[in-house]
Amino acid sequence: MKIQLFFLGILAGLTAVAQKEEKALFPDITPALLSVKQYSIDTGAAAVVLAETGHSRVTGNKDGGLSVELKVRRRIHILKNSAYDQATISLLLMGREETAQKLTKIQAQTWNLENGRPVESKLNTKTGIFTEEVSRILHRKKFTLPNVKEGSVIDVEYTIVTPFELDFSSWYFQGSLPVLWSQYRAEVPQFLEMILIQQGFQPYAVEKSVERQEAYVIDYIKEVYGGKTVPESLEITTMVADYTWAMKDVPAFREEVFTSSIQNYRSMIRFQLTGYRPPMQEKKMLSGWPQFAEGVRKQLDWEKELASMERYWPAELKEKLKGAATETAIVKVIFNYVRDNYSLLPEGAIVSGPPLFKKISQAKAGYPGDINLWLTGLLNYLGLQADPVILSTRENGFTTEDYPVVEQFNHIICRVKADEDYWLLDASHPYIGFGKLPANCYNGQLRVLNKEATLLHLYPYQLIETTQSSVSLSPDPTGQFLLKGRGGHQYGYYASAKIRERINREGEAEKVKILWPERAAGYLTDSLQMDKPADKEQPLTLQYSLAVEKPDQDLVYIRPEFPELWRSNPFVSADRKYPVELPYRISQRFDFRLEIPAGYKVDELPGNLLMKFKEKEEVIFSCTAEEKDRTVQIGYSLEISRTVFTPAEYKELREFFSRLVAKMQEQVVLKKM
Amino acid sequence: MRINYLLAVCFCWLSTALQAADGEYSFLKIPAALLKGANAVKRLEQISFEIVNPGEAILRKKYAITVLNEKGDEHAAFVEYYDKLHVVRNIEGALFDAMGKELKRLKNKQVIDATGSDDNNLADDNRRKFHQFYHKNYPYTVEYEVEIKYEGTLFFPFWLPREDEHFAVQQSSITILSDPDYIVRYRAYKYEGNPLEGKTGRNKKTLTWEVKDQPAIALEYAAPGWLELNTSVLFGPTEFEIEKYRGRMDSWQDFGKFVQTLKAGRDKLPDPVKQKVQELTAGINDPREKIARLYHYLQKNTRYISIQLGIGGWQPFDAAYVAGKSYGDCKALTNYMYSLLKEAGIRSVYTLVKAGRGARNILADFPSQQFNHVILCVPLPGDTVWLECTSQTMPPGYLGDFTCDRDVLLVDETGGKLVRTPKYGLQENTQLRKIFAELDREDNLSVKSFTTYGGLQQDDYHDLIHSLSRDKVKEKLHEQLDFATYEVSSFDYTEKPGKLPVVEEKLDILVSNYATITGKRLFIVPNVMTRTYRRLTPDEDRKFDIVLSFEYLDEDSVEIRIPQGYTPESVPQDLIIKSPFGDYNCSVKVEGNLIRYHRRIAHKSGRFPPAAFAELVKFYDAMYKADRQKVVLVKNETAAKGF
Repeated sequence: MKIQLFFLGILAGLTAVAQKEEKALFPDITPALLSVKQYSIDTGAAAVVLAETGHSRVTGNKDGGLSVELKVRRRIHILKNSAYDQATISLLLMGREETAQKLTKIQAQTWNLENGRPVESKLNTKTGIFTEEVSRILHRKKFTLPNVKEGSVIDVEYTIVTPFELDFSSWYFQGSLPVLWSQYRAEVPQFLEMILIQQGFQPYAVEKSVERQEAYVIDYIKEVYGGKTVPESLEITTMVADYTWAMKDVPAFREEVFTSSIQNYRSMIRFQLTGYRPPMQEKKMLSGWPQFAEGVRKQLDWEKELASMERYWPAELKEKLKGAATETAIVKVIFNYVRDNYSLLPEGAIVSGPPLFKKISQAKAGYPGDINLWLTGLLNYLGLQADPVILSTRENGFTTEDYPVVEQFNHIICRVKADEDYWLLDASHPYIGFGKLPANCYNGQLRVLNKEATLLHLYPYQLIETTQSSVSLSPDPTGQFLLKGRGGHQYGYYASAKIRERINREGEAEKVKILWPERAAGYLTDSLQMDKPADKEQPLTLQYSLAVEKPDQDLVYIRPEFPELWRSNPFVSADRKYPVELPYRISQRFDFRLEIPAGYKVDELPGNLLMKFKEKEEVIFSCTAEEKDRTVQIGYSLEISRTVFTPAEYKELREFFSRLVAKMQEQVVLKKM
Repeated sequence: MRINYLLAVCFCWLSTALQAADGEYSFLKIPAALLKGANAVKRLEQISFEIVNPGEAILRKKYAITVLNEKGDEHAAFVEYYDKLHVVRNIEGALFDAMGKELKRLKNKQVIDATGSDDNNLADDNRRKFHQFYHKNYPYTVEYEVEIKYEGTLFFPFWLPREDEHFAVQQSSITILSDPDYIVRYRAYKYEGNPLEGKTGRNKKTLTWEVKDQPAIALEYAAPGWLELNTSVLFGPTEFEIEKYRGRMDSWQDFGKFVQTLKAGRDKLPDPVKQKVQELTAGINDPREKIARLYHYLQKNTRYISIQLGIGGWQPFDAAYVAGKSYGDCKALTNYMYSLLKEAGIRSVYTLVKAGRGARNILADFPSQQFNHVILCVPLPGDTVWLECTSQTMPPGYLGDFTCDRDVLLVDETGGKLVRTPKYGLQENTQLRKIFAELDREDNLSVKSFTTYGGLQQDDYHDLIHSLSRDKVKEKLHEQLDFATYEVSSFDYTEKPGKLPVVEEKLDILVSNYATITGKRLFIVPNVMTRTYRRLTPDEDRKFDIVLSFEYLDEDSVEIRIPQGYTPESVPQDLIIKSPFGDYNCSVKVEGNLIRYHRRIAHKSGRFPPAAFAELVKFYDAMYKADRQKVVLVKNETAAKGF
């Protein structure tokens, strides 16, 4: 993983590299270019980005303020019809009407080779641009290019003007198409203090900065006496640091399984505005974690919300809290109440704006962060020390610890102190019980939004997903079957949560399919019985009975069967670019016991095996099989106590699982005496 | 005295309880039979649809739904789609607790107004009103009332009281109001009796349909379509108007005439395109070849872009527009292809279809707007060529399961006419596979497989080849084959386009640990690649007919060479299953160090009574088991040393 963070001032000493003019980055449209059928960077690609540039800068606007302009230009060679959707551009913009982000200076054209020469078709920007009002705060602009065919080169250029904040847009050097040249230029005036976050595995072809002086002109309307107005303007002259980053020949970005967030590996840069310097009114947006925590609390209007709890405290809680004698018991009641009585709003935000508690108490619904803030508020009201905790879930990517970067966080949970213990609670997951957190919260840094912005850590290796399973078979006294027996299985905690959720969604009728999808056809299983299906704090356990039919020959082949047994290799892909990240440690134990029926003897047993990944104790698999007192005992055990594996280790890891799966196929052979 | 006192207390208690439960929507008022198997109950629904004149109508709807548990929550949300032709005038709503006591009312600003379009359209008018109370104490009841003004009457509402499975209906009714001389066309399905006729004070004629006490049902595996199991009434206009266009819908022919007026005169091609058509077809006599060339020209020079604004949702952009932009939606592209063929002197017919994989049936006996797609039909003497004009890759003449085997409406100057698109059956939907494999001493299997996919079985492979890059195809192959650990070392797909297209696949696969070699035995599954996954849960209480619609034929021949020195110990017996659902057989033989396996399944389509379900379960179970059976071989005893 590579996330690097710079304060932009420090970067301004990089050596300048010879840099092409922006225009020159875009290859000329020639018959030769239009005749290219494939590019060596990826011979199977349906389209290739020939060049793309982004350029962010601050401009003075006509309303007495400053705007940020992002100019984007992209030239794509469409090689196959499956890439036609590249020719339709859809841009989601913030705001509506006057104060909205604006899309301007759109130019788009298609070139085709006709009779040996390039022919250009232009987008009609008067009739061809469509607006869709997405919601109260979002709108979308859409357009599509004319005359797009296999072999077309399309060129799209537009500028997005953002009048309401001076944050610079992020830039992705890597996307779904291979890119021959991707370049981002950012002109940061001295009056803006920014930090820069860089991540990814691709090297820069250009990384440079120049300083120069620049004047910003802000126009505004000044009201003079008698209601009259006159246009005025203001000029700010300041130093500007002009940065350029570029990457050459960037392969398309591919998804891989078993990563916490694949986005952690995508090459990109991101900015965060951290303050203003003179001649702007000096202001530190953020200078450290305590200020960050205070800032978030202020945004939430947290003190006021807490004070408002008096009005919104749900009366129904009084009854529920009866009999809760300890602080922990109280916390548990409140947690279960919030989790089970408040709905999650679909998609959208992390939190609603203030007045939060009013909204939640009225709607009995909220975004995930709302639900946990409400929980925090309720606990606080009872005099418990409870604080919101901010984090980034695994899907959302890692966070940097050196410096607070607001956009990196996407979730809020709750920390409460009860009977001298601290508890972390997330009531926004209907199937996670008290004392547990969803596995996606285990992603490194958490920050308590208290005065100190207390730093906490949760890592996948702190979680163990434990599976325990056993089967016991003995001769059927009724003589109907050769063997009959019972099985018991305890699912891992997170597997249990998933199963509970699925059974609730898909219905009881689908139970068997959900609990044991790969049960063998040869095994008769019935009376699948779930224990404590509703107790969300406990893993799910399963009881079942099974039988082995009488054979029609002298030999009986029995393959030990269990739910959750490895029947295929989880690492499907033959090679790997990014690290494997497991969501937790794994501990599994499967025990198989068989009493040999009279008249039979063991002809063959699976061989004993002990495998250690890289000869270390971190990943161990063992299979033991023995016959003793006319009883066969077979045990599989898998312990994975490490959660990150490098791409270099991948092949071996895959091989390890291949052998493990093969071992679990082995059979007991009984022979008639 | 004492007893009386007690009684008095009891009654007292009883009467207060009754009072509290007196809310109209108290869940206690739901008949027990309706609670069975239900997640939600529609308590009442009153729909009135007033035809003011052919250009205007008003829909008023009031309904209440009691949600019994979390799974019923989806029915608690209010969603209404609208556009420029359907204006939502008023929405009211309220939430009630279990006993029917009102908890809160909807405030208008809480209704979310959002785009109703999906990413498939570049531009459209679709909008969506949405509201939900997000209550979580079950049971609870929501009540909504909405009024929508229809600008134009091309569409009438559709009445389907029981909207979903696990959903009961206590009461639902629909009333159509019209002028006394207006003829309301309708067709009722699974509805006993006739509608109730009446009159309103404003001299309007009314027709009312009503159902009561419909219990919840559950959809079973391979059940008939929802409409077949439920009461519904379809309504249609006689005379209607949409924007400035007028039409009649008494018959398919009339409806076709209206569609024809929308597209009439939109077939003028620019001169350069006309010249191109002449150029492409010059000197060719076979009309099939002409069609193929022009279709190829269409595929090379246009792409699908959907713009649906106002009447544009029903009227195609003209041929010149498509020629200028090189794109269009299904209507525009079909009309363009029609124009190209017309220029070449070939008559073709604009055809409306209800497209979709599961959407096989329209209600053919009730002319109305039931379509969502347009294709082109080219009638030739003794044959018909069907063209899907939005695809850049499909061969001319083939339809695929998006549009095959269903009633479609041909539209020309004479009006509309229903015909049926081709069905692809057992003979067409084939998967024929030959496998040559070799097992090494480390129990790795190297597999060479040669497969020919035909008909609907080639659709996915057609898409795979055309929509994914080679890398992506490889990725897919690494995900979808059923081996524990494997590597596809080479793959190749060849397409043979035609009226019945075929895709040929060659795969070289190295499967790690395919067999299990223990101390003295070798266990191997001779069925290497074609296994059934379907397993049905027995259902003694099966209620509905079984409808199987997909016919196919799979045949596998496998040869596996295994290391020398093994003798068969257990070889699965040959299996032949003949059933109403299809015929299956498999056999395996060991000849020296060669295992030969053969498998064939001819899966039929058809409709079967509920009682046949047990047999269907057995049929799939038997295949599932047979497909996974192993051959067991033992190592030959090595000759004693020395002699």
